[in-house]
Amino acid sequence: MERMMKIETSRFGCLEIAADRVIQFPLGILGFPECQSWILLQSDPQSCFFWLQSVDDAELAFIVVQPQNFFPAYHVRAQAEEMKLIGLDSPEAGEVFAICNRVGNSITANLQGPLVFNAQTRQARQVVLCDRQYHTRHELCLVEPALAAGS
Amino acid sequence: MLVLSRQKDQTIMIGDLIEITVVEVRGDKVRLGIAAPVSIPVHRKEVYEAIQRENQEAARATVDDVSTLERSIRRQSDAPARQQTDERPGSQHRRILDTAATITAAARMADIPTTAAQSRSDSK
Repeated sequence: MERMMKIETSRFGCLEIAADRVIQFPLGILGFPECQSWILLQSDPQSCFFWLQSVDDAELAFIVVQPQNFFPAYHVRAQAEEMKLIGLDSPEAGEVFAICNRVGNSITANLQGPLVFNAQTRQARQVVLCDRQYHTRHELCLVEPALAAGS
Repeated sequence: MLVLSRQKDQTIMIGDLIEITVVEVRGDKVRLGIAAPVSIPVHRKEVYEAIQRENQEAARATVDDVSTLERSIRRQSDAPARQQTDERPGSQHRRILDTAATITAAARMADIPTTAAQSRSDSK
């Protein structure tokens, strides 16, 4: 029998989630060190956009994507020690997501600070890459102004 | 702030677990070696602050942002004719849509619930 838990969110209302679906960020996310419990939601089954919703703060959620789908050459070069904290040998053994941001009319992904998930243990961390080719705002796509105005 | 003078190859201890060694001094540049437990992340401050700032901005995303995005991507990939003047974004968005199915499979494998189908999560 799975234990269910209720999570209050400002965007999606009250969600009932199996407790074992919660993802732990032992170090939090940079800027939000106190928020260690999160859930990953898919905005729509066909969507490539996911929401990473904080369990601790109803208003805190990020739009995230799997960056390899937009940037096939993207490679997370993290130190083995950084991955040990979430029980992985390397980032390749986990799932990588990038946080999206809206900057003017474009949607950008933060490839310098990717999130690496261990799908087995449901632990994750935000990694800071030293790789100079990646920065915090890589353009994913443009938002068409007409569509934005209609929403 | 505590200020200490150190020479090349000399080390500072912070508590019992953190060691900072001066590896090299050249002109106005100092190379430091840092040994710290895995649970203590070490970053260059400017990079750390950039990511922190970006996270704080990204946290303002709304549900509308995602639906606008979805529509933009669909429209841009459904209308290749309109993309003739600029082919690269068109092909990029087509690839995004093609991979959506793969992503869904990945999400299922990871047992991720969707916002649209929360009730599904208790059927197990």
